[in-house]
Amino acid sequence: MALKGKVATALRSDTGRVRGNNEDAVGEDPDIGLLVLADGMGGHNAGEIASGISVTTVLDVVRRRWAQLRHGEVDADSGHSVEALTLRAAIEQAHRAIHTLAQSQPQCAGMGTTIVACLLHDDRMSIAYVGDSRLYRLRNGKLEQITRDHSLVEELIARGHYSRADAERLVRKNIVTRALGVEPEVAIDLIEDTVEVGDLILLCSDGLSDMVSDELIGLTLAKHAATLDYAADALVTLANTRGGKDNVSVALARVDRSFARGRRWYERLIDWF
Amino acid sequence: MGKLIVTDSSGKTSEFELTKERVTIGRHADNDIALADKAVSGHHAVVITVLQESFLEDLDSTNGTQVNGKAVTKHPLSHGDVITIGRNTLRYESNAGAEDDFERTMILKPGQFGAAFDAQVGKAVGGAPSSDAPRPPAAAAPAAAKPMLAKLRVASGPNAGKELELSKALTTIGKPGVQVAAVTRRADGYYIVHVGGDTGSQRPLVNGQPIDTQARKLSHNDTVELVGTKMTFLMHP
Repeated sequence: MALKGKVATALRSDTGRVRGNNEDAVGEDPDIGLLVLADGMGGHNAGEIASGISVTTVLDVVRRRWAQLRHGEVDADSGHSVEALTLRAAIEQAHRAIHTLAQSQPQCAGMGTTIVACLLHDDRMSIAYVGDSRLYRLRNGKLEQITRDHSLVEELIARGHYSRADAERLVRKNIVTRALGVEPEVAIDLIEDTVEVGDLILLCSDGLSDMVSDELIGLTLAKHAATLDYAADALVTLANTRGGKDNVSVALARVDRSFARGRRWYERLIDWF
Repeated sequence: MGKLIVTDSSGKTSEFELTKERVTIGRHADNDIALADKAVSGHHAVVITVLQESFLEDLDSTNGTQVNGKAVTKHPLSHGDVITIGRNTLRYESNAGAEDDFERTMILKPGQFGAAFDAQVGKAVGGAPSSDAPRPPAAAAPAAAKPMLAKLRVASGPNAGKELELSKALTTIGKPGVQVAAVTRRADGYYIVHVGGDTGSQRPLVNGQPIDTQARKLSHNDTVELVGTKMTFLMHP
């Protein structure tokens, strides 16, 4: 299912103002409707290697499986769409590739990466993520963070030790609790949600979300929603003018037309009541 | 996991490993670190350790808590911090030694979390019925992390008592063309979102309030009203 003309995208990845290299990676498959963003970590160039492998692998695995997928089916055990499960399988494969390389190459030891991937299908989105790279949705001018970071900040809030305000003020933001490639196993979170015409979807690395407030991200997206390339540039510039301490990457998608298979999926619903 | 080097008012020193998630400090004997000093409140302060990071919190003590000479209420501990409570000092030493690069992203490995963390994970995965309960923490193994389950029970009309299991990651309910909502399952609970753009004022109600543009988190026993039908949201025990 080609999404050309239905979904517009813009991707950016920038080294920032402080770092010597860019350990982020972004990629897309506009025909399938797949966006992937990763933020690598590790000494030397290992972070770049980890994020690069993850993006390439996810794009490759989903592309290879896409034609054979029984689109629209839902797995009874997990309740997830086959599209979401494919995305998870692709990330697991990326995880194994990174982990294997980290084990076998001394210069890659300990490398890892965050990842957030979004697959648009049938007026829905399936999201899979690990770490603190985020997915936001702008709808009717309001920005909502859909993913919940796998980070120490969120851990302290979830356990009830800190309020969100205190945690964000006091706790170091750069500590993630999950990453691809580091441990033999990784837990990947899946989220499925609806998509509507006019929605703007933002995937970003913490180089954006640590430097720029959600409020300002929302205002910037709303202001430049019509010209995605400009919106993406504006976000990167904002992060850099606020210090640009980290690499900053964004992947934007704007839903211009319904991409439902046949009729819109909710019009095909059988009344439950 | 760090430790505290405690020097009491008589000059005697002892070491305390921060192996528990909460380590309490105070004058009473039931504290993990009991300080026999009248200037110390019964329950004076607590050190919370999550993964390898420790945080000091004053428990509204009478005489307060200082770190490196400054009064604090909540303070993230760094290697070498000196805590003063009454006439006692507690020096914090992180096992990592001196602080490393602050800006670099660091990964905390589940294998290093220790028994206290594993116990915490077990507790959270067991799950309380409220959606405000802690989500299963990060380290839950993918295979062990069974999805949460919830259902909607019709509370009014001819179908009262009928139940819909929310077993899918995304469940749609309602009448197409009239009013449709989607219930999505995220890591920390279930959310309801209005579907179909701005079709008049017909937004689903949660506890009598129309839902916003954004997804609204559902709590146990919330009432959801859609196409004139009232439903109760129930988390499985």
